[in-house]
Amino acid sequence: MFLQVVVSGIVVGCVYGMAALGFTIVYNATKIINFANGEFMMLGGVLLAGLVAAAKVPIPVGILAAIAGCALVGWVLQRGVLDGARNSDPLTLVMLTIGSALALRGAAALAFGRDVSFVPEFGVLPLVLLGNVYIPSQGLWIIMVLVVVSAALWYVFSRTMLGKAMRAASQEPRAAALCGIEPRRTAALAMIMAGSIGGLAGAMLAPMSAAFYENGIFLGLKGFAAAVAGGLGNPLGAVVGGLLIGLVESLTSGFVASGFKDAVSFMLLILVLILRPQGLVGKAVVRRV
Amino acid sequence: MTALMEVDGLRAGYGSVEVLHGVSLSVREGEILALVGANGAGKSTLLNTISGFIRPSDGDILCRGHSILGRAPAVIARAGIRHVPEGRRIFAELAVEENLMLGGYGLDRERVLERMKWVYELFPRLIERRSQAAGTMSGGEQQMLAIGRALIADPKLLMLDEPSMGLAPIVVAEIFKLIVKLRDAHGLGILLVEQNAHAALRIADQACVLSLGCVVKQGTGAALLSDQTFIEAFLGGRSSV
Repeated sequence: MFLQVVVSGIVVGCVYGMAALGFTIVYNATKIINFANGEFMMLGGVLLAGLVAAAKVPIPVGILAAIAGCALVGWVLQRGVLDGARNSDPLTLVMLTIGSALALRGAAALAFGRDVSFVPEFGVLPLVLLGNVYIPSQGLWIIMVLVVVSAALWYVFSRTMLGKAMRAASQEPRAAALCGIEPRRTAALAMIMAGSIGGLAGAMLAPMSAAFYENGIFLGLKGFAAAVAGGLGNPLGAVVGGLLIGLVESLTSGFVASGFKDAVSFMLLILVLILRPQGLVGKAVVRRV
Repeated sequence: MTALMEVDGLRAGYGSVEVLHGVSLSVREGEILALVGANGAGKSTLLNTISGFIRPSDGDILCRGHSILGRAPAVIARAGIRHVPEGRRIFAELAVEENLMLGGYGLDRERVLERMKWVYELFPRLIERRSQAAGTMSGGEQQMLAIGRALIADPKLLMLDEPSMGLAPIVVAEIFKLIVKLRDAHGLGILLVEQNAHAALRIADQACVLSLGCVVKQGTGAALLSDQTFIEAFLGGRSSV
């Protein structure tokens, strides 16, 4: 029983980890908390459900379309909304992301309806039975996707010039511009990456928890909490924070009561912020001036 | 000879507050132009306007005879005007070598690696620290990194904003020696903004004194240094050099 609860916590945690990665990437590129990030995941789910259930598109194509659609939404959000106000203070920009989240939620309700829709499991991967612990096939998919996404992001940000340029632009936007790096391009790129990851995560989650136009609210909150708990701006921290929140939620639902799971996970977040304000994985910045 | 960079009747400021009231100056190849003046005279504003961060309300900025007015900072940087900003602004969390590589962002990789060897020759201390996070270095080393990062792109004009700020005198001397070397051995045009006017004027070919957003005096470095009224008015009467 205990191990089974841990497994489902890890699976949910992987989804939160991907949500947190979206916050992290955008924060790193622009120092803005993008509260529309949860909507990327919601859109990934409803897009996949719409395409697969209503338009009878094969699942792999549906997933790719969901990723592409969310990447496009991310790009439009950056270029069409946030860029127009790029000289405003960060609080204004954060408010714009909240407004955009509401607009996306409304648009999804109009386009895909207010009903819960379902996506069949992806299959292919087997249901694994270890002793008396089940790892569902969809759970395996989610764990694998998180591993692949994390590895890809690690590669981009620590090995490619583009990734380093994005980090440089977030640390010293002006100095980065003086090096020939266009901050508007790195910001748009970050939003496209966050959109793609969100769309993918939402599509992966859809067979487990149904697609619904209001899913973005809780996914966004959990992802934000995970990103902060792990240390805002730290990709590894985002994943660790996601797993931690998933585990705590799952353990609370399994052994206390499922009604308490949100309260417990947010209390944990507060505790982390009091004891380790830099986050679980974050280190206090060493810098000589 | 056409000037490397020419500023003509430049007016610029922040919002409705005009800081530069029609500034004109020019820098030629292989020449150091020292820009001196008190705090708030508009020196950094001038550099930020040339770099494209501030849109001038009037006047023109020419790079080898072509106007670069209205271009984005990244475009101006790629055109060969490199600005080493006040406070160095290195990428503290990235390694020293990554900082240098980013100086050549968007340029041919082979060429950047070649230039990097040259920068390491100029600043041997950076080699030892190549894989260290840049923010953990001393102020002098950070200044060298900031200059090295600008040099990677093979600029024609280097704009240095207060390179001596907060550094020990011996490090300042080292950096000034390097600035002279860049001019003499590599033919760079250098626009040097300095609080430490005496030191700047001693190595400068030309000098401009900026006061309250206007060029109030112009001439060779040596001429300004021997100008008693100037020394008394702008350098606080410290005529001993």
